[in-house]
Amino acid sequence: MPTGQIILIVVAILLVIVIGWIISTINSFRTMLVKIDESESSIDVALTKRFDMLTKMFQATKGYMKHEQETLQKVIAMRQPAHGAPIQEKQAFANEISRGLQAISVVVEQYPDLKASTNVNKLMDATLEVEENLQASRRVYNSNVSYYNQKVVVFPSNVIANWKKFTKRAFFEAEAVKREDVKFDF
Amino acid sequence: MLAGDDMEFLKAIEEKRQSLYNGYQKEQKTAFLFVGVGLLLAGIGFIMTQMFLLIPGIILLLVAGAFFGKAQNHARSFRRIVKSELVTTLLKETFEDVSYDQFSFIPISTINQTQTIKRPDRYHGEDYMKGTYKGVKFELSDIDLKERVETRDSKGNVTVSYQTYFKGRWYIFKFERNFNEVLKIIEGRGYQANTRGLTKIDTEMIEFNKKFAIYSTTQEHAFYLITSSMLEKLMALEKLHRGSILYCFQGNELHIGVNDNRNYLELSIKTPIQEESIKDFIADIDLIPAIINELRLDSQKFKNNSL
Repeated sequence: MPTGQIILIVVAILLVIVIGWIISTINSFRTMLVKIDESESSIDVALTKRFDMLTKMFQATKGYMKHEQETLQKVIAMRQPAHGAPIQEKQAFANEISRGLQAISVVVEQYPDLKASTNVNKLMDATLEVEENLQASRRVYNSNVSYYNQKVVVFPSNVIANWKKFTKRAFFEAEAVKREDVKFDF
Repeated sequence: MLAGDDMEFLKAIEEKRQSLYNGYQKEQKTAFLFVGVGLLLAGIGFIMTQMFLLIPGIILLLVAGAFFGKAQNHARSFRRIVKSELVTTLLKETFEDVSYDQFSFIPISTINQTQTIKRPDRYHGEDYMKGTYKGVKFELSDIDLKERVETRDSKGNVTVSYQTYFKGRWYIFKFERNFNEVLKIIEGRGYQANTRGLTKIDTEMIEFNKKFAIYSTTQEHAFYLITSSMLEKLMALEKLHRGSILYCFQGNELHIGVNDNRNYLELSIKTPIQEESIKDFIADIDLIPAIINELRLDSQKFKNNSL
């Protein structure tokens, strides 16, 4: 076989390998983004449930509230950020709900009959369950973001990331009170 | 620290041990005496090819064997006392509802059904315990799983042997809530866990990821069950044991397999029964409520939810 032909075959093989790698890297970035999007949806669902729980808890305890009622009403009047909203906005929303739930927990602590109420207890259990779900979704999201961000910055996949404008994603940080574990002091 | 009644109970068991141990020593001494004389006669008879010395020598060795057997009977009786009296009493002190059977064990079908470990060719178990603590049902037993190994020598002869690949404890905790998903956390390799249909998960704890392989039907389920604090507890539980450990959440059960090559709840007839010598027993028994408490298996999360 002439040398020119051999060089042509080698170049063709190399080209196929490079193109194959580019396609697979772009696809893997897109798959990662889909996974991130899915896990963000789980956060949205958990946040909605959590917001519902806050509303229900507020309804069940508002008769016992004094100055907290006004603050909580403001929290309840908030609108949940849309799915496409920045993660920081969702984080701020989650923090507000946390503050609201904590305020309710203080009220429940103050009134033994409220603490003994079956309805309130059921709501507390449900709130904890929702909280666990939110923490799980947050960790799934962060795990996916962490993997994706690594690919964005590490060579050689960062070449594709820069070319196709795949940028780093923000983490959904846990509030300071949640870093340890899910535990509401009801 | 044991209470006064417990000390009295230990003293009573120690008296029984002492009496059995005296008998054991007596039989052992006699047996050794027969072995000595028997070997001497048989040895001389063999060297001098004198049958009148060889035959009595062999007979004396057989008699020695009988005395060794009698000594072993004492050791067996002691073992029975330890298991039926000591272990049962210690268990009843910790749990309200508990049963113990030294000869029974968790059926192999139950272990196989978790698909966390390869099916054994031979299986043996003992020290089966069953009870309830804070509403969580538990079962456990010692297990010994063996596989058939064929070795071929240079002449092509095949020798079959059975080698232990998992020896230790198997725990099952049953809670109210039935999860439709599966989570397997396996330390080390070689168990041939079935991970078909499961996704490999990495947690945020690098140390945990290095030690365990985590497989779950979904990422959400894995992160829902193993919270950050649970990761630490699972690590702590692993550090308590030599060897390796595996966890499997399936349906309404948590299976924990500890492969530490240990035979639990055994005490030598030579060891005096005191607070110190039964420390391991107590630690073993205390581990059951500790697992339930530390992993919060009695919490709302593992109860039926009406959400």
